[in-house]
Amino acid sequence: MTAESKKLDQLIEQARQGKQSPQPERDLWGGIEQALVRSSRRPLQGFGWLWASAACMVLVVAGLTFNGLQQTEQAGVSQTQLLLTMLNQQHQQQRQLVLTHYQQVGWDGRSEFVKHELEQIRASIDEVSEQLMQEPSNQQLWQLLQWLYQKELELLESQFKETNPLQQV
Amino acid sequence: MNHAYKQILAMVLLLAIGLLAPQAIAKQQSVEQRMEVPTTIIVSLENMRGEVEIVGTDDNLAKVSGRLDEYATGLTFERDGNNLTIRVDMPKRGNFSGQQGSALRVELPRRAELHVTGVSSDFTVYNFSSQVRVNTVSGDIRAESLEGQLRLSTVSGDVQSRKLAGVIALKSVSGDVVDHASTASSASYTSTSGDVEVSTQAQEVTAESVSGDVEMELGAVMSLQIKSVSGDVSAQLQLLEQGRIEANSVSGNVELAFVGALDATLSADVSGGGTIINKLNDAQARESEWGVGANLETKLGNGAGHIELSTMSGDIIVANK
Amino acid sequence: MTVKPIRQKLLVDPDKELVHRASRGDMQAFQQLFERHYKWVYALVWRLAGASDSAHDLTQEVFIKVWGSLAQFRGESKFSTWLHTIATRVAMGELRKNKRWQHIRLTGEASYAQSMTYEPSADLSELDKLILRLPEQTRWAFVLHCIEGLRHEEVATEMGIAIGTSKAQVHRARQMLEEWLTDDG
Repeated sequence: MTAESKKLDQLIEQARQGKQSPQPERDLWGGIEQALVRSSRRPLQGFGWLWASAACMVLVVAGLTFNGLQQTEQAGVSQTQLLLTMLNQQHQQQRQLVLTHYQQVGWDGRSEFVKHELEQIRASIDEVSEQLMQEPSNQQLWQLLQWLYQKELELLESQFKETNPLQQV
Repeated sequence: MNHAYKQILAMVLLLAIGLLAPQAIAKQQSVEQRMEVPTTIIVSLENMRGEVEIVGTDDNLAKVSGRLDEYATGLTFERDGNNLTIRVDMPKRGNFSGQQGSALRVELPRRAELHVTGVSSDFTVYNFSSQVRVNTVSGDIRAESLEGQLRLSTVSGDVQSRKLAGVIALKSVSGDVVDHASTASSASYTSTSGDVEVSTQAQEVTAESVSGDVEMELGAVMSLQIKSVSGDVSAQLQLLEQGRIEANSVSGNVELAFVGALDATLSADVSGGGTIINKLNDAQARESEWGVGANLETKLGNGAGHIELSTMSGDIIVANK
Repeated sequence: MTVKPIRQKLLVDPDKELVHRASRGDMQAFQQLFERHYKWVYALVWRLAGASDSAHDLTQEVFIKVWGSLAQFRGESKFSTWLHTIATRVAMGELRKNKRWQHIRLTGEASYAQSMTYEPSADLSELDKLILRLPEQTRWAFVLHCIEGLRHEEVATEMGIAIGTSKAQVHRARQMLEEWLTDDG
């Protein structure tokens, strides 16, 4: 085996291990996401389980806030923050799911209908989340947050219905 | 023998309708049809555009009369056992831009169960006593003298009702929800940007709004739940022994006026810039330690009921009527 | 005795949960899968395409295909293996289509000459710089067999050539690369 052959084998091995591989120079996900939203044509499914999971979250929150908040105060705000982050993420997922499903049946997601209210809800979610950092044991605030989440999903659905009324019948 | 004869007659009728149907494409076809039905028939009614008036009667008859949508391909008027389908048939696709939707009057037995759907169709429903569900997108819903399980829902239209009883749920997204003189046992009102205006004797009431205002004149209430984002909420009520009130808003005001004796523990909480005004007794709201927000805890009468009110930046006002 | 647990461990697919969620329409889960795998998918298609522009497009196309086919993924193999197959197939399909088109417009030699004049960016590895200089078919066979580890039969199928041709191309690639290593070294 020549020295070159050995060197080539080494280089190949490095490439196989993913060392110093060519890397993309720009973001790729944005384009993929757009294409998925536009092109997919999966049938619309019911969101019954989605509401159910929202209801579950209320229980989770109730449990967590009830049991965990004493420690929270000592351990700094991190637990509340974690919980909020988790809830907000979960809501984002559900929101994305609703959007994707409607976009898959041909809705481009643009609608002026209740746009203002949706913005208000978004702002309120932020506002309530912030307040919860101050008052993590305020049950009513947690419930208000859950309600806002649910309201936002409902409004997204109503935007779709309003823009595509024929999907109703 | 008699039954078989009826069946044959029905088939002949259906055939005749089928044969006539192609000519029905002409503009605004008139219809006038009737059929004997059981008094507890389950009716599914569909009309995309226009106006439909649905009336409960004491007969065991289903009647449809009026004019069909200018684009309609016909009318389905079919019974299968205890189910009746009334449907203004429309082409699968099309740009229905013309002005002439259906204008129909439908009569049904008072105890019929109704499932009504439309797109831009308005519906007026009265005199039923079992179950009524109406769903339309941009149409208005008017209802009067209904009893039972009632769910009336529109997206951008208004819901207006009078004299409803039973368990009722009224919902509009951008339209107003107005319910008067209802004697429901339980009532739920939902609007997003429209207003909710209600006078009801229901013991259990829930109301939700995002930016619309909620105004309620209630009777003796066992349970009241209100949620709002920026809309103002005001309610006048009598709280029953051990009753419960919960009202939460983000930036809207919450105003409650009590009629009669009030026995409850009241807890009011403002997190942001709002204030708490208590005219029920001498208890004062405590400012929070950080200077933002306030809290009021007080016992009224024997304290049996529960009242929990909270807003982020709205005002809370509690008073006697 | 000891074999079983090891096998089981190997069979656990770290992507399983995300794949399950993504197949139910959870785009966030899919984005996480993307984050986990896009680097090597990009590297693979970059090496096959020999240019970063097409590599960007191809990587996106691969993930779009994967999303559309998630329902068909039964979990018989690991997700990464399955993704690998799709990536290879999508890239080869596209590149072969382009090649036919190029043949009409240019000659094979012209595109070869083009690839010779391509100026690779500085942060490429030594091997990647050299790979770019290989003729297209030779590069494909080399990348698929030597780097990606496909058997010659598989390379032949993906490229639509005979098994013998695959072997010959890989041999040729090695010869050229070794020669260039001598020159540059």
